[in-house]
Amino acid sequence: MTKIKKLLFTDLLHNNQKPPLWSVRDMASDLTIIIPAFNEAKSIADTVKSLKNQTVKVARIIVVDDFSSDGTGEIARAAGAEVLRPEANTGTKAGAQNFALKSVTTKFTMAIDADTILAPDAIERLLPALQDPKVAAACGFVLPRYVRTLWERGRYIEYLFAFVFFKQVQDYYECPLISSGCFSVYRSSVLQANGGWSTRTMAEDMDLTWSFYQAGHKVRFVTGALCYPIEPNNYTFMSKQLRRWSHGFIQNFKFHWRGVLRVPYLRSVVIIAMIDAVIASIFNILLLPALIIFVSPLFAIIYLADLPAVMVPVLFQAVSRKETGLAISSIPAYFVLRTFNGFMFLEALITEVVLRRTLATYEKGH
Amino acid sequence: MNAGLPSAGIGVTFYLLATVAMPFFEIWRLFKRESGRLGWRFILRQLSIATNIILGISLANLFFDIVAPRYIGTNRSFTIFGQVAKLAHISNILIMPAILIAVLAVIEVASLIHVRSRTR
Repeated sequence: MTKIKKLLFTDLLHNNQKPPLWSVRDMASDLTIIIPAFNEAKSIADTVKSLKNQTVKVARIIVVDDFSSDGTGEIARAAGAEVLRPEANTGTKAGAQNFALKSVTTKFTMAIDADTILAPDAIERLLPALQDPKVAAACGFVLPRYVRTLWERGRYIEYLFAFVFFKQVQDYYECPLISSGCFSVYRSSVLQANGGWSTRTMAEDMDLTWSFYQAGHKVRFVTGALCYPIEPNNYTFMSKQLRRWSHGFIQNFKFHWRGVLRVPYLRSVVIIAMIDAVIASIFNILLLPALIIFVSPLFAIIYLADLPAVMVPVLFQAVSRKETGLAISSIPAYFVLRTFNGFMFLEALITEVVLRRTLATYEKGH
Repeated sequence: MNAGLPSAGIGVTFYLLATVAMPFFEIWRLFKRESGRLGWRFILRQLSIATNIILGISLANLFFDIVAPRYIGTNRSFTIFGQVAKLAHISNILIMPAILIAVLAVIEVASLIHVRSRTR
């Protein structure tokens, strides 16, 4: 019984066995970290410090001060990072990353958001995924740094569910849907051969991941490598982020669908995700409210019909992290976020597919 | 759901089926003398999550089907709701997996046609 309990509830995040430290040290000495930053004065010092405090020492930490007006560059330099500043704002996160990529000479390149901190052993755990020469990118487990507001709580549940269930299954079949842009490591030669991060969509990390698959490379998800971004804590930031993500997904689908069809498993993951998102948006935003208004208010219960499906993976992880109370109290926020998410996806679908108007302005929203 | 994308259930069904298929894949790998990267411990954990999800959904369905009508009564709106809930129950068990399998089959056929048209 104890063995079963240990198997089920041992913290998944700390379950992966670490490879020998010496081998990772060698890899880290050939690693450049790129942090694109636009007006990130409040968070950039913490990000740089968390990189300086890693269990392995990296070759370079570059902060791209994308023409900030709040002293981001000076703060990053004082924290110990090398700062590059373009002559004008590059307009996108990808643009800022590409600006630094030109100067990268190391074998590996890591991308981290300016509002993200890492667990002390995150790089040590993530880098070994690239020991397999077929692997072009690897990403880690994402958890919100703060879980206070309604939006952060909703995101906390969403991440626990997605990273404990969906992403694990995707990784088993060697096909994570996306190597998250907030914390990923890349093989520099493959990244540079791809032309860096593309600015043609609003989700440059998804674009890059799908391009890698189509070129025959592999991508890994490393459960034990933890990062903590600051998630949108209010309506304004959340709507900007979800607008970018929803439009980005549809743009990537439109751009890559032919190529994705050639990649086994990825094609199923991508198309199922698209069908699921479309049905969910129409059902939650249009059909269910109509049933509630015109037939019976009891239909509101259907909003909670998949509660068990959400709660199980969330509690599996929350129990082992001793965050059961936090997870349970955050569940209502998840349903609010999900409904809002449906609105944003429907808007993106109508704008991108029906009206054929592509979102091209990158609005920062954490 | 994938983070940032809404989900209606077809995705969960897909990942449940993919989890149930893991042991068979692992045995196939053993048969081919390949070593699975994540191993049986990982598979058992994911299977236990999947089993509990199925159990949770079944309990919710049971609540809608048997328990709720006894306590809420049999007024008209609940009867309609009960019928829809039953439909949802059948949908979870039969329709959703059937749709999923049909979608997966269409995807595979589409990929075959696409690959053939490119090689011509």
